[in-house]
Order: sequence, then structure tokens, then C-alpha cells
Amino acid sequence: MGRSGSSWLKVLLVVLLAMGAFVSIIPFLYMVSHSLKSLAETVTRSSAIPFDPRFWPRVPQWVNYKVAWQEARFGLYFRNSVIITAVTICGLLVTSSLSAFAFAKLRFPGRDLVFSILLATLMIPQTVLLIPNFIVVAKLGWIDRLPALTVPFLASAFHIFLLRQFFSQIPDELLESARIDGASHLRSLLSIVVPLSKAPIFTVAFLSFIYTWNSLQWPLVVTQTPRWRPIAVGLTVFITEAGPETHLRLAGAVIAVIPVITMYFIAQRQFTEAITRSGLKE
Amino acid sequence: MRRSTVFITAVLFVTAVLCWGSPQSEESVFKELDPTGVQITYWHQFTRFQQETLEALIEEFNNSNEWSIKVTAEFGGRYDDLYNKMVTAIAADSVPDIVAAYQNEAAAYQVSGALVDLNDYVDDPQWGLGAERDDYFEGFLQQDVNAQFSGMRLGFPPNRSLELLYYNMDWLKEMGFSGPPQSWDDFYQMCKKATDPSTNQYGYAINTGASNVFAQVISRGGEIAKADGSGYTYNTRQMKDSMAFMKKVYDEGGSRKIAEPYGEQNDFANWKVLFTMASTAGLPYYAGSVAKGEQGAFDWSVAAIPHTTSRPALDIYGASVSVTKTNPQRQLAAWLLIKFLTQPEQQAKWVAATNYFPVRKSTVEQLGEYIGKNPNYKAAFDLLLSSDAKAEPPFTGYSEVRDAVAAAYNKILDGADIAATLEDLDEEANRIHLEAAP
Repeated sequence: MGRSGSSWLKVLLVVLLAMGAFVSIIPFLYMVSHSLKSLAETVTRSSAIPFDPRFWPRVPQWVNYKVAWQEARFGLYFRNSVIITAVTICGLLVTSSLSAFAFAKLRFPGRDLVFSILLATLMIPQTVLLIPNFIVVAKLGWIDRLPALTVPFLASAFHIFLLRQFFSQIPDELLESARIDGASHLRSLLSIVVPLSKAPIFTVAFLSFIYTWNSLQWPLVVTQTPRWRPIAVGLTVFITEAGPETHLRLAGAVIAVIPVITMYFIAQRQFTEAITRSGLKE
Repeated sequence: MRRSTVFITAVLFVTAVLCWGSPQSEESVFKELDPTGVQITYWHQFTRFQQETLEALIEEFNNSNEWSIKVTAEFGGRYDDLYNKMVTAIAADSVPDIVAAYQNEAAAYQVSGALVDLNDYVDDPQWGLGAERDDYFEGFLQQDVNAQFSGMRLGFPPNRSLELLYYNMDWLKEMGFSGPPQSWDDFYQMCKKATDPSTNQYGYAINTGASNVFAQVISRGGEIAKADGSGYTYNTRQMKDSMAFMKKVYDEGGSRKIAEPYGEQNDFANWKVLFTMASTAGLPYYAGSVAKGEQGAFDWSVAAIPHTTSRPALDIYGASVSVTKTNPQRQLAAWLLIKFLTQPEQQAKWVAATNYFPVRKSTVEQLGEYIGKNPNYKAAFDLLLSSDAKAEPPFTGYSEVRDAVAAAYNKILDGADIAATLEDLDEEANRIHLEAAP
């Protein structure tokens, strides 16, 4: 195919990708636009098509965010979500990287068997674990306390698997060199493996952030007061039994999703930087 | 016979009569029980203004009850979340004292033996309802009596709602009708006349929920379950007639499915749809939407679902509150809170906050101002008094059956054979019933 044919193909590809991106972003636009409408507008001027003037508010009602923040106790729940998420991510990164390093680079009896058993636990649905986990947490006296919301999630078979796969690709020669120089396993992990694994580590952090930030069922089960409830609980106050408060519900949803989007953009940049700065050359 | 023998025989006879032949003793089974100083918890599903009102009522109870009982109310999430939380709590033996639960959810809890039979409290001579029982709507009270558990009363109603027909009176008048439909034929004619593709208007916004299906079946004199709790009956004549009727209206364009949650309220407010069928709990939301609709405010109200029965038969529903097995003092304290919350003064405050129906008839005497401001609530309340209220089955597994009913209804609207679909539905519902049976 000639140069002009190739250009047309590129143009077509860009157009298709742009259309796909536009369709994907419509729900977000809907969420933001309708969060800025008055209750009357959500009834009379509602459309799912961005090109329809009814899609957009006549006059943005920024007060919806203030109402949503106050009505749903978002201040407290936001703080709780930040703390719970931060503790969970830190713990998860520590346990996952240590475990993954052991499975990838250390040799010990039964290593593969233990890893297989670990992978097998991925097939257990979370709902099945709800009651046994709750029983343990209740017996430990953690109900309505921070450990109930963090400790059960400080280790994850999926994240261990994810990191283990990446760690396996790091040449053993690098670690042998370090060992000859007297580095311990922990030193090798921290000084060699982790710096080379920024992309998967940020992936683990980002995935666990999304999961923890959006978690609703477990926090509702293990909390009894607003003391440690996260932001997802705050959103439930706008789910009414018999009628919509769409504008407030969506305002709350926007507040809740801003950190997730922010985290995504931060992590995306780190992915790119980690790959371009990689010292591995074939 | 010797005189002493006669005397002894007489004494024994009198003793026997007093012990076994006399009317049952009026002594309470809880006679020795003292709930003084007990602290209990109540898991509920209410948020925002309703939660504030409930907490104010509980605060009032805490400050006024003679036993110094202290109640802590905790929001446990919406109904599904609260159910998950409760199931988990039962397994961990960490239950609250009172929990909000639909009748089928209470039945599920009782499979584990987690709940108290409130018949003992309702009928107790010391702590029970006594003469006040006549003031309660008996139909409401019977909803929590579960045949699957030998007539145990697994909950008590704090409030109720009805499934009613919402109609646009101005639109009906424009079309030449003088009032809402009484029969399904009237309903059909009105939907047909209201439907106009050029203006995107139609007759009825379809509600495929299981409660609405039940409402249609009982409006035709049918039932969906066996009274003895042995199973469901989804392939009856009334069920087939209901589905065939709705299919006909749908195929002729007189009704539409609604994709967006509460989209039917928007269509109603914007004069796009003539009828909807929904809970009376939605009255304030309809009022708010109509006030802000494209055409401005218009005359609308609620009516009984069209019916072939001599009196309207209406679906009455709502979550009850159940008392868990803890210890006798806490159980009694929980019952005392329930009695307090169902007193007319408290019920009046609750109605004003929630728009639910009270469970006591005399509450209406305290609702003059509320009814004056909400004429449609009065219309609904009058319907409650003039119709036969029926309740959906309180069986274990009914939540799953509800999903199957909604799926079958949609399949029928999409063209599936009615008889075959209902046969399958009946089979599946009874299979679920057997699997979930205690």
C-alpha cells in the first residue's frame, strides 16, 4: 500500500479510536453535567446525548456539591477512606513484594506447591469469605475499628501473583552479583528488584486503591457507627426507596470518583516513566 | 359413702377444676422479667430526614420510658446491605436486638432460629397490645405471621405502603373521561386513547416488578402462593390473564418499558405517560416532579389498581421490625420500643417524615394538618380503608422468586409464549421454595 493509503488508514484508526473514547467518556460527562442540574432540570431536561442542549444544565448548581458533602457526612467518610486506603496499600505492597520475591527468586521446599495453593485461593468468591472473615474479626474485637477495615486486605493472592510474574523476569545474574557483594535477600529486593519493578508496583497500588476506595459491603458489615465508615457508604444515603434525587446522588458520585481519577493519572505517568527509565537492555 | 370420703373427693374435684378446668390464667409469661437499665441496638435502613426522625423518636423513648431502657439506632445500609450484614451477624452470633426486615428476609433469619416469636409478646396480658389491638390494622399484623414456621410472628409492622395506580386527571378529562379506570377494560381504552406516537405520549409505564405482578393477580381475584406455605401458584388463570393483558397493551404501543430508574416519574411529570403503578411511598416524589414538570403542575391523584373483584384488592407491603434472640430482658426491651414506636403520637410524626401509612387506625386523628397539605395521601389512605389489603408471601427464598418473576414478565413482553413461560416460572419458583425451605 502506498504512503497515501497508509495515511488514510491512520486517519481511519484515529477516528475510530476517538469515537470509542467519546462513547466511553459519555457516562462521566453525564455524571458531571447532571450533578450540576437542579432537581427540576433532572425531571424536565434530561438527555443521554451530549449534543442535546438538555444534556447540560442551564445554570450550574455548584451548591449540589455542598449539599451532598454535608448531607452524606462526606468530610468524615472522605477522611476515613483516605486512611483506610493508605494503610491498606502500604501493607499490601509490603506483603506482596516480599511474598512475590520469595516465590520468584528463592528456592525452598514446597515452593511451587505453596504457590499453587495460593493461586487456588483466587477461585474462592469474596462473598463466601464474608462470614468466616467476620467471625474472626468479631472474635478479635475489631468490629467498628480500623483493623477490621484494613487487616483482612493487607495480603492478596492476586497481587502476589502479579508481582511474582514480573519479578521472575528480572535476570538472576543481577541478584547473584549483589549476593557476591554480600547483599542479603531483603537488600537485593529493596535495592535491585523494587527499583526495576515500578510499573507493576504502581499497578498493584492503583488496583488496590480502586478496590479499597469503592468498597461498600465489607465496611457496612464490620462497622456499626459512622466512625470508620468510608465514602462509599455516604453515597448510599441518596439511594431512596421511592424516588430519585439524581442531582445529589451524582454530585456525591463525582466527589467520590475524583481521587480515583487523580490516582489513575498519577499512576499512568509513573508507568511510562518506569518503563522508559528501565536499565534492562537486551 | 363415708362423709370424709365425700369431703376429700369434693376437695379433689374442686382442686382439679381450679387447676385445669378454669379459664386460662391471665398471668404474664414475662411476669418476673425486669427490663430496667437494659441497652439494646436497632439496625435500620433509613437515611437523612427519615433517619433523623427515627433517632428523635428513639431519643424520646430513651428519655421517657420508665425502665431506663437505652436504645441505639444504627444505619445498616439499604435493604440488601442490611440483609447481608444480618446474615453475617447471625453466623457470628453478633446480632442486634431489633432489625428491619421484609417478611421473607425475617423468614430467612428464622431458618437459623435467630428470631423471637412475637406472638408471645403481642398476646401477653401484661406487656401485650391488650385492647389496643383493635386499633391496629389486622391485615398489617397478619403479614408477619408465617405459615412456613407454624404461624410464628417473625416481625411487627412499624408502617406500610400500598401499590396504587397514579393517574393524570387533567389528561383523562381532556380525553373525555370522568375519572380513573375501575376495570381493566377501562384501563385498556384509556391507554389506547392516550397513546400518540407523534407526541411521544403513551398510556402506561410498565412496572415489571414482582409486587406489581402480585397486584395484578389479586386484582383479578387470584393468588400467587398457597396459604399453607407449601409453594407458589404462578400458572393460574389470573396470572395468565394479567400477562396476556399487559402483552396486548404493550404490543399495541399503549405501554412502554422504562430503562432509567424512576424514569416513569419523569414521564408522568412531563405528561408523557398517563398511568404508572407504584408505591404510595413515592407520593412526595411524584408531587415534587409534577411541580417541576415541563407542563407545570396538573391535577393528578392515585386510585386502586383496576380490578374484577367486587372490592379493590391491593398489595400492601413494607419492611417490619424483627426481634432477635438474645436474652429475655433485652427481648422485652425491644418489644417495648416497638410498642412505643407504634403509638399514635409517634406514628403521626413518622407518617409526616416518611409518607408511609400508620399501622394504627386512630393515628389519622392526629394527621389532620398533614392530610390537609397532602390530599393525595388522603386519597391513598381512604383506599386503604375501603379495600381488601393483601400481602405477598413471606416465604424463605422469595427474593430469588421475585427476580424470576420479573425475568418471566420481561420475556413475555418480548414475545415468549405466555403459558409455557408461566409454567417454567411456576416450576422454578417452587424449586427455589423447596431449596430455601426451613
